[in-house]
Amino acid sequence: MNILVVDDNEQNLYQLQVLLGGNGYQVVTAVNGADALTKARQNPPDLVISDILMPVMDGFALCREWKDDKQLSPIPFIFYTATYTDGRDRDFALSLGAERFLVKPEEPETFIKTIKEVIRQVQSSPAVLHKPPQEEENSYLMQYNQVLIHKLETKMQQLEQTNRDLEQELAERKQAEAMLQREQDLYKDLVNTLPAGVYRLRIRPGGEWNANSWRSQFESYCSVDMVSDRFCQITGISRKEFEAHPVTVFDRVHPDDSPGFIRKNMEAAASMVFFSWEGHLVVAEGVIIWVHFESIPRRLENGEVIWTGIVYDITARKRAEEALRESKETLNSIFRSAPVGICIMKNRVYQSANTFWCEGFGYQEKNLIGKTTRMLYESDEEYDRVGQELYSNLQSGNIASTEARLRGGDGIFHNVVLTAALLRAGDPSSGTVVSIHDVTARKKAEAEVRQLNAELEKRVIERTAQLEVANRELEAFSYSVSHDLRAPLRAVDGYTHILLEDYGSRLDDEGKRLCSVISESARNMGKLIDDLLAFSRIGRAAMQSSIIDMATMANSIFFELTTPEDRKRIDFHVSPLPSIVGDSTLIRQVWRNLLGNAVKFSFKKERAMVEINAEQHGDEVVYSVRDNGAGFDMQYVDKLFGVFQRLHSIKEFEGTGVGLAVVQRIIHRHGGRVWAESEPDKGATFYFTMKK
Amino acid sequence: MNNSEIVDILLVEDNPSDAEMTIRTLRKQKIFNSIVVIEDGAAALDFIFGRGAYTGRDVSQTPRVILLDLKLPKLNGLEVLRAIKSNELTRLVPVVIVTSSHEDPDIKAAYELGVNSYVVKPVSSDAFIYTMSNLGLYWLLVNQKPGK
Repeated sequence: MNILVVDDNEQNLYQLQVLLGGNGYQVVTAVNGADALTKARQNPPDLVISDILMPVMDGFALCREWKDDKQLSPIPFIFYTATYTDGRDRDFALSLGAERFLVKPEEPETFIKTIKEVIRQVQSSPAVLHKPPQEEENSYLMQYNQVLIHKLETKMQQLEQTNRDLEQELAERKQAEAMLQREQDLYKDLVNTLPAGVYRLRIRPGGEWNANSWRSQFESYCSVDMVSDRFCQITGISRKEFEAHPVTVFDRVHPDDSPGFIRKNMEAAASMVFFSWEGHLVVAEGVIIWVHFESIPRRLENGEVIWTGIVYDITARKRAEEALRESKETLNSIFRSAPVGICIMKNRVYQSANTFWCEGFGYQEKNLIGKTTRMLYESDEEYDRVGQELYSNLQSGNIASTEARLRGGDGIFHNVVLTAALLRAGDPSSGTVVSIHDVTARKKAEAEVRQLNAELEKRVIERTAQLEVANRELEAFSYSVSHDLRAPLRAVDGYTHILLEDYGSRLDDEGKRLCSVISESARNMGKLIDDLLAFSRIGRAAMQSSIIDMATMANSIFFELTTPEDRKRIDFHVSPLPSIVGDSTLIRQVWRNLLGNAVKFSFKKERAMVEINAEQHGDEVVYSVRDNGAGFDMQYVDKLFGVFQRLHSIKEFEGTGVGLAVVQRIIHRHGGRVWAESEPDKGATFYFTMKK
Repeated sequence: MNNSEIVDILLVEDNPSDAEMTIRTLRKQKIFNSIVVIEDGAAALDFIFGRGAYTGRDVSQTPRVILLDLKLPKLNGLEVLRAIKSNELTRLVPVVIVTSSHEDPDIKAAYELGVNSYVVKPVSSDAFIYTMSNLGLYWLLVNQKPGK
């Protein structure tokens, strides 16, 4: 049984061929109506199945021809079409004499069934030759035209619809493209604005990867899918260079960090989890930065591995970390090495203790941490007392301090001063920092000092008593000495007087003169004794301090020393004198002696002048007594203040020569100095200083 | 020595020349009262209280004035003064200390013990004569003694 299948579509031919061939039919194919006729006339089939829309000669024309052909018309004709599916088409097709009109696609089973049915039908009742009359020819053509026109219209409508669909699709596509563009722009912007550099590398499979070959393998098998501007900015590698040679990154890693970088790369490649590395990058001549690389792999079906990663500049963070670490270390070393014992406590449990503390007390820090401070105290009372004194004061946020006795590592108790402060002011839960000063030595020293002081005082008291005794003895001695010395003098003078009285008549002038010399000598000696006594007393008597009005004192003493005649002759001038503190009896003596001298030594001048001045120099006052009297030769100025030193003969000026020595002694006892300036016959100026 | 002798001036002085000059001066002033010179403090008290070498003396015969030096052998002047002034019998007798010392402590001590006068012996004879004359005249003629 052969079947002729007519279709311009190779696929359809093939399908039918397979289907029919599979059901035991022989199949001949034709690609259009003309081709079908030719093949059918040569070798008429048992059945023809034809498509309609075909070039050269379509299915309708073929069927018309077929059914017109005497030879072919009995052969059953089946239309099998996809396109001419309208009812009119069907009617027209059947009116041409086709046995069946089937619409593609038909179920294979149904299709075969129909074919078998048609063949059976034809075999059982042979077909009638159907010769179309002429008008049938016209009607056929008209019908055919209508069908064609209808088909054309339908096709046109379809095409128009398709066109509209296409335009719609185009519009939608344009919209989609615009959105895509926006998304691309957004993505680009995002990538380039990110503070981190973004990159995507693609590693081809293959190659021998080990520590030595890494660089060359990378060079050969790695390519760059994408890299952001920021990446180039950070690493200092240009886009062009990186895209051409991504291995450049390796070369930029600092030599010190390079081994670690490669090792991390290898680990990451082996584990296929992620790559993470921090290290130094030399981004330009002499410019080194800290960077952090981070990337994640993804293996593709074709064996390639995509690494998507970021890099960012962590130089600032590293520096901050470094600074923080340094400051922590500094703080820690301060704590550790401070030359004072410090420990940190929380709820009276040791958290840490520094070296000085541990060494001073003979403990190891590790034996203290976590232990309560109670173990260092002798008793609960002491422990509680210290706790009370320190921690109740700390409630108010201040520093608290107390003394205590603590047991050292050797079991011996030390006297200490504890000073505590809250670690964070106002926050008692933050813990306390306590400094400890071992005052055992100090206390011992204090006790020693106290004892020494007591001994010293005792000694001073003893010494003072001794000195007082010595003083009194000296006093008594000099008193009795002067008394004993005076008595004979009195006798000498007295008896000479008696001599003169009773036997004067028997003496000549010379004899009388000799007597007067004896008397005079005795009197002088008496005066010497007085002066000597006074001089020695000055050194011994206790000084009594009071404020002295120097001007008033000088004036009153001058008055005492002079007669009205003297005062007429002497031009006495006292400048304003500052008051000072001193022993008024002794200072009186000073004025008496100095003014006495001034008056005495200007005795010869007709117009005498005595002037008292004062000047302040720093913390002392310099008083001066100036006269225009006899003066003295500066050559002998050193002898001036000596005891019994005289620079003039007794004939010139009377006096024992003790006066100035007394002045010097008194002024020295007041902590001052004396000196003098003079020129013979031009007068003298005597200076003395007193503390203000 | 006549035990019942009325003694006007008791001169307690250990220096012979001072004693001689004193007596001479007084005599020159025509003071002819009886003068007794005792040379040490203990003997002075013995005389005043009629004991020792002077046992039997009529102690009611108190001197009109006692001229007392301070520096004396055995007992010193202040001790003699104290004894005199603390005894009912002799408390009212005028005592004049005549001494070389013009030390303030001595003067003060003497007054505290109740001395009636304190005179410093001048060194120069003129002054000595002057002082002693006045002294004698005053205590023997001017000053009134309390009645017995």
